[in-house]
Amino acid sequence: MKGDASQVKGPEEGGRSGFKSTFGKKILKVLRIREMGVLLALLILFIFFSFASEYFFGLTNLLNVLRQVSLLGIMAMGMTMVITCAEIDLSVGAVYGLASTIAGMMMTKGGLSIWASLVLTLLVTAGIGFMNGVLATFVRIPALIVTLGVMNMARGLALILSKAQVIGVNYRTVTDPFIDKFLYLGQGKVFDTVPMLALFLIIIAILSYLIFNHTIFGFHMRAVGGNPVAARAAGLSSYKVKIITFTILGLLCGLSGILNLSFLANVQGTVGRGLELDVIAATIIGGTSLMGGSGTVIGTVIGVLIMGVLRNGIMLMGINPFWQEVLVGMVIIGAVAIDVWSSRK
Amino acid sequence: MEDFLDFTHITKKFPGVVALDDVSFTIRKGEIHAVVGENGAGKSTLMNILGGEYPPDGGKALLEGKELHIPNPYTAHKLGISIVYQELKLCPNLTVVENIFLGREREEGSRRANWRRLADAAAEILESLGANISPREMVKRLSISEQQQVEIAKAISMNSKLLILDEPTSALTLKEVNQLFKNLLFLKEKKQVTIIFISHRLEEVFEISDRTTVLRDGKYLGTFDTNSISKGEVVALIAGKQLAIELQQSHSRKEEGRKPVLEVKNLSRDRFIRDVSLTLYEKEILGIYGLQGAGRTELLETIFGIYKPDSGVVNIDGRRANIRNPKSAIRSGLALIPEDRRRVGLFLNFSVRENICVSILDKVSRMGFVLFGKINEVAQKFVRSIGVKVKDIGQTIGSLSGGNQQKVIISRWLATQPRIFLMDEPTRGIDVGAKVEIFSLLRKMREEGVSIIFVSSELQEIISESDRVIVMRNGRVVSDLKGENINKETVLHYAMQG
Repeated sequence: MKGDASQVKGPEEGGRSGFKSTFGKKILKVLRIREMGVLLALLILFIFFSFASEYFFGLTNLLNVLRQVSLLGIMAMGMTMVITCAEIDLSVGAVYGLASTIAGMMMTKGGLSIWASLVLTLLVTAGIGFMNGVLATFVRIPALIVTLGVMNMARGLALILSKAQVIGVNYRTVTDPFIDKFLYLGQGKVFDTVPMLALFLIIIAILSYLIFNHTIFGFHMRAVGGNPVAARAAGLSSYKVKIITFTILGLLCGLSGILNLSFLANVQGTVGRGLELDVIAATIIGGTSLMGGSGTVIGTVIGVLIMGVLRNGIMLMGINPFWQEVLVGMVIIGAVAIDVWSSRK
Repeated sequence: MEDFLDFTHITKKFPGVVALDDVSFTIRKGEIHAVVGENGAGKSTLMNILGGEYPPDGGKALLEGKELHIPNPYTAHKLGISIVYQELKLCPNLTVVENIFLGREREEGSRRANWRRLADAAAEILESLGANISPREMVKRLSISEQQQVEIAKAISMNSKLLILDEPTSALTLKEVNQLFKNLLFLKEKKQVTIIFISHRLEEVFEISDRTTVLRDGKYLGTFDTNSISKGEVVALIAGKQLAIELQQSHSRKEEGRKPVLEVKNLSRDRFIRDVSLTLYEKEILGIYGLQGAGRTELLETIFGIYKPDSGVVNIDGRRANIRNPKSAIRSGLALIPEDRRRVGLFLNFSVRENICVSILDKVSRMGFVLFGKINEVAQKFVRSIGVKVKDIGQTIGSLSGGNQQKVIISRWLATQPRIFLMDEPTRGIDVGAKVEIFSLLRKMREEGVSIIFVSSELQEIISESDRVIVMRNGRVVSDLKGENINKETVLHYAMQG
């Protein structure tokens, strides 16, 4: 055990200690939080790029980073829940692409109202998540395999529906008069500065934090992932918990896909290729263990930001973009190495 | 006969227990030497030291006069020591011949394995054991007794000088036991193999062994020529009558004749529980004793709905309880302290307070949102009333001692306000002080109207803490003892040979 003040003293003694040691304890408590390692890594990247590129440290660019990682980040929130339950979902990138395609096709070729298109799309992606959950629990196919299969199916369906064409989404192709409002979701800026996408990320992150840390359901996720046998013996139904998390992730993929459609203003069946790996990487960099049971929303937010800052900074420095991938790879391994090393100590 | 293996002052300590305490005895070359004792007597520890699982803390073992250093199982094989564990250690997805020659596929100087020759050699050995097994068969398709024969064949193929069998008969039928004994005699007479036979079935010990060593609580009690001692004398030794340390019964047993709370009728599951019927009365501590593999844990886990029974019913308050899973068991007022605390009880990723509150979240929340103030309140209340020693209820459970972890789990279940408490080895791996506290807690719970089923491998605990004792053996209830009949000799008699 580490010899810090808060662990040595009993709870009844705590009140008697003076201001100085209370303050010291608070500092120690902050330093001991789980996410400290990744936060430090983010800070180092931040400082490094601030010096390396004159364009990096500015409100416009930083908001831009936030916008770039927003869709990834929204899905990483759901991924954190799924991985905390000791499951995995490889289908997120493909479902995101499918959502974008379905919504776009329904409002253009389908002639449906935008509202109907969006609601139907979310129903479909939530349904896919639900199905992933059922297959991975009641049918007992490992989630890795279920979602690998679903990934391929969703990819194929997206290409079939879009006939592999790029179809514009604008006032010419969509009859619904709300098209401007829809495009504002992905492209607009609040007060002309904060991108709507960044706002979406912030809202989803706060909601996820509340679910994760303040609800019975969040508690159950961590219990089921931490020790499934004990969870069952304690009267929890792990299948139910897992199916709901898969469904939430499916819903978030739908939301991200819709926002992507609004941002690009066109339908592309190929969108989201390889995105699943970025989502998983951001989650893992944030300290969520693939073994389940330990994950934090704040950690994932930091993980997402690390991915964004890294990509953005490298681009601003004018380094060959292919190096991005190499560096991201190194950061994934490095972050997990730090996590494993620090938790062993 | 000459001395083959000498144990001198072997000592092994684990946190909280002395598994072997200054044990010295000799095994002669070419004999079948039985080692007997209660659960926890130190038999398996002795075997694991020979197998290279861990070194002794003190003392040494001499094999044919040379001091043994066995840092790992590989070295044990090299020295000619083979162990057949109770849980057989074969690779189920490999064939018989691959298992027998695993790691020794190539002959000296050759670059490839000659599988045909190896299969012939395996077939020959298996035949000598009277085993009708094809060397090309997958091990996972074999029965337990056939797998055991493969283990013995493996030992023969290594020209082992010493074969150690740990409870080899626990999963065998009578016919298979006879075949095993025939093979052991064959090894002893034709191959000059020395055999250590660890068992708690005395009939078998008396049938097969030349000499018998008795251990109790890690201490050596003596080695006897098996045909010069009676079963009764061995039971008395194992039970500790000789030393007259009968602890005084710590409380008066409650009379039965009250309202039955839990009735189990003809419960069966697979080969673990066979036609078990029992009744638990209101405000009663019912002790269940049995040796390893008697089906105690399986019985509790089946009552609690972790496993589905093949047949039988469970009644609570005279009405049939429909228990499909732990969730419905909890709703019926049951609680289970599991035997395997780490695997079935603890959430190591959780703090003390989270571990306490995990089963009562709906009582400490509003509209799905957890109220942390209430969690702290509940956790603080139990930590104080049960005496869990923690510095902070937010600290991780893994940093507590075994006894305190157990108290946290007891707190979790007390928080659900159960009427029937199933406790499986609640004192395993915890220190004496914590044991005493847990027992006084048990009695307090009983006074408050909780009925308790208490399973333990420690005979003394069962005898001094129970109002009534049920003895299990091979998945069956063999005896229901009360009053005067609850004493070490009677209980052991039923557990071992009833």
